[in-house]
Amino acid sequence: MGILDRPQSVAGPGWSRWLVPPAALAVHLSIGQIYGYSVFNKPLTRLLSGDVSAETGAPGDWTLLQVGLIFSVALFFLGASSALFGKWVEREGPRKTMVASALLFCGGFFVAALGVKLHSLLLVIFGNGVLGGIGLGLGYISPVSTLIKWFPDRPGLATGMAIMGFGGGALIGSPLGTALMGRFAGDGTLGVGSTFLIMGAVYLLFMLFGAFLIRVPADGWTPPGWTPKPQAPGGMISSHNVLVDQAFRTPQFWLLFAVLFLNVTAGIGVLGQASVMIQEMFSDRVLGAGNGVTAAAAAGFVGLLSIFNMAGRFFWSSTSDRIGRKPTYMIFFALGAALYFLIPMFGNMGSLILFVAGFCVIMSMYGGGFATIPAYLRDMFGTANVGAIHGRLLLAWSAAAIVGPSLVNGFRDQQIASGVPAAQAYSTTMSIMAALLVVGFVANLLVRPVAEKFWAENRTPAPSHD
Amino acid sequence: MTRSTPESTEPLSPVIYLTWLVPGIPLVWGVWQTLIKVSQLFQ
Repeated sequence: MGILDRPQSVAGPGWSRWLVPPAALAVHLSIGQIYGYSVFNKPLTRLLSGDVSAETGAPGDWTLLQVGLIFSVALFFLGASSALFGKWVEREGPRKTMVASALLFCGGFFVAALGVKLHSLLLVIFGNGVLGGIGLGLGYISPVSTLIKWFPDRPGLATGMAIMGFGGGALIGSPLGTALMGRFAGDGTLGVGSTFLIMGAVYLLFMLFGAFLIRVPADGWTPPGWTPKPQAPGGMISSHNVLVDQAFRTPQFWLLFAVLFLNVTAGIGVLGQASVMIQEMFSDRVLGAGNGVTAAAAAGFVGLLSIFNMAGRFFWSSTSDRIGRKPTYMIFFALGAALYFLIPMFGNMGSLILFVAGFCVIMSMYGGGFATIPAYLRDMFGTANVGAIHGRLLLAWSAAAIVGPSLVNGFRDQQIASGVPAAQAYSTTMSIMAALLVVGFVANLLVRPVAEKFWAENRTPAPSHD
Repeated sequence: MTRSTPESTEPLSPVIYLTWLVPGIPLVWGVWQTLIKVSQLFQ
């Protein structure tokens, strides 16, 4: 029996459950680096010229559009792998899947370093996009069900701690990448390849720390002094398990798919355009010469949104343990829609403080939506297969990653083309975001407990297909 | 310190604090680096 197998990772007597979140955090903080990948975009387009400050690259240098494919491919494979390998993750346990995630994610950096050396975009896409993306998917879902089993009394808090790490990963990966490139640049090289090698090695150690620290609880383990509450008739927390393939057939799965999709769509498009948006809405022309938001200040705004995105993951998911998942999403959708309605007014008033504060709250709820969904799934479908079900639901994230930015950019471009000043071009987009959140509110309102016919004990287990 | 029951290694154990430092230190560093950028917004 291998050290990576599930039975080898069962916690012995005396093992504290508070050692499990740091293990999950180590993995999520590492894979969250993907959200800081944009620091490599410009250097990757100047590899041949070797001058990152040049207006254009040398002949043969990659374009920003081509380099942008790396991130898109990685997010696609994140969604696809978490959906495809969810049942494998549940079967094999967190340690083996975390090791697989570490080897793929960090191996992706090594392949990408080779791609930089050979100036092969395909190799970089294969490394950071395909291998890295599969590592992302496995790493993202690997600790979820383990945490929920260790913290049946506070599943929102537990998964919030891990998924907060994914938000925090960009805060580490971005300055780390910049610092390493600064260290290795010189002699006509920008240091990207060496940075990839070092980051791959550092993240590998960090993720393996998490993999070997993690433990699954022994069968029947419960927190000391805790007894599960008896299920109230019609209550929103089920004590029954639903098989993965059955969950896919319930209306609850698709309602929660819509809830996640709409919440992410409303946030992700804005996150990608935040820097441009604040500079256009609060430009010198709007506020007066010398008073407009500079590029450096806009970068600060993006940084602030990242912090709220991360903090919201922990705050909202732990809050959901107290107020319930459904009310938590009600707040996301109602408050989010109201803020999207109000923010253009804040812009017209020239109130930068209200504008920034509004988006900070929206970003906290965007992060909170990611972090609270595993606990919502646990409430609906039980603990046994929550990791695999969560993996399938993450396809909503992949879909939103395509739809959200397209909506924001598409409507902005259309408004500007029809003669609307840039500062006001976002009003329609924000109204559409508010409308999407109203639809999300209705979808969440429709979520009811799963019907008895879907409970695992009422069915013959479906054969595994993976 | 006895470690014979789950309660004995609940939050007060130094081992747990030390383990939390492993992800905690890089996270705090990342937040600090970001806050330096954020300060530009308020200048």
